[in-house]
Amino acid sequence: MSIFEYNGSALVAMVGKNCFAIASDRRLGVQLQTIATDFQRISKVHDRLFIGLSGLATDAQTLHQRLMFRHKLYQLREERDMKPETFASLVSALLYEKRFGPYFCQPVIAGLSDDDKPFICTTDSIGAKELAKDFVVAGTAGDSLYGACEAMFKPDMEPEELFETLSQALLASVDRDCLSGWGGHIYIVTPTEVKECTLKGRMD
Amino acid sequence: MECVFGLVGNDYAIVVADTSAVHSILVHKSNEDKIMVLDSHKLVAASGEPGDRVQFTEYIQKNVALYQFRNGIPLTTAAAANFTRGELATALRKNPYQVNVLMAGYDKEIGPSLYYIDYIATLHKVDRGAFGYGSYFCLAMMDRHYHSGMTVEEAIDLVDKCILEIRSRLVVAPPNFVIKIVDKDGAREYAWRESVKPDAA
Repeated sequence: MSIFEYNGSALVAMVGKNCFAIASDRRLGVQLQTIATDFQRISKVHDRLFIGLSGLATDAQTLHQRLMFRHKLYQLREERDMKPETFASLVSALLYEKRFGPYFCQPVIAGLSDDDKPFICTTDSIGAKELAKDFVVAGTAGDSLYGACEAMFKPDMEPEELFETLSQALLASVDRDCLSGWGGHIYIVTPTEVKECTLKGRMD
Repeated sequence: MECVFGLVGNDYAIVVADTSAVHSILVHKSNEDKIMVLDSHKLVAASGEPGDRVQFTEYIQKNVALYQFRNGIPLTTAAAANFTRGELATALRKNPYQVNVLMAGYDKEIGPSLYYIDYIATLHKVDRGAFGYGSYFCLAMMDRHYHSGMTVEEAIDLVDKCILEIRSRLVVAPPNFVIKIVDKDGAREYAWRESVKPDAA
């Protein structure tokens, strides 16, 4: 079994009209065994920037700690929050530092740019950025997520419709992947507020 | 076939470990205590490579004590768990420790907590956790019978159910187990469950 499939994960971010949504599953497993059903994969960097880390959980936790450290240092020096594009470059640089002994993670970065334009991005485990205008996916359920998102996505969705679309896409995809699931976490971010919801899906 | 498991109750946390020290087909001793008392209100139940297990848990214990000496206050369970994860993570890509850890603790404001720490430094706060082949039986048993707010008696009853399951269903089941509890009065040994009386040595 691949090291990327050791813990199991599903992550997706989608762009709407002046808003974005990022969602993940909640399972933490060790190969075939489920350890926890309340694992947080997405974390807030600041009010307008979220990062989700799929792949090996230990590397996701280490990388998360390093990124929070770097962002806090940036905030102290620059006296402002990092822009999503800058943060994506930081993630990419941190990952490429370990080019020949990488972190086994695939991050999904989602944020609101300066003019409230949503920004989403994913990188592979060695930091190759993929910027997309519609949606990005990561994790063991990635292939299913591509299909579901492609079918359900419409440009310029309002937050409520975006929430519905992303929830359905996530739940449908994780149901086809034994290593991810047990519900979902979804964050819908607009320029004025951040809404966090927990999804109930098939609990298997 | 080391079995380590634990659960959290209202105002206590219980961890259980088997007590066999095994080398290939030989049982060296059957009263090996694998649950270390980290400090007054913390327990670390560890399973894995025997040398690494003792070395790593002692290292954590001494560093936790050092923190208390230097700073005058003890670490919280969360802090100790994160420190442990940090040590495992740092060693992971150099010289990994093959030790799985269940850390149970009681903090005055927070109450009881249990942390699951994998040998590859995956950290998660859990209500119930288990390592080893026994985990297949224990986790299922605990999923079925555990509910939040169990009394100590109910929890020990559940622990006994888990031990019975391990003894009857695991092919090389360890004969003896030790149960330790941590609550507001501190971390202490609760009971042994012996089906083979170990010798005096």
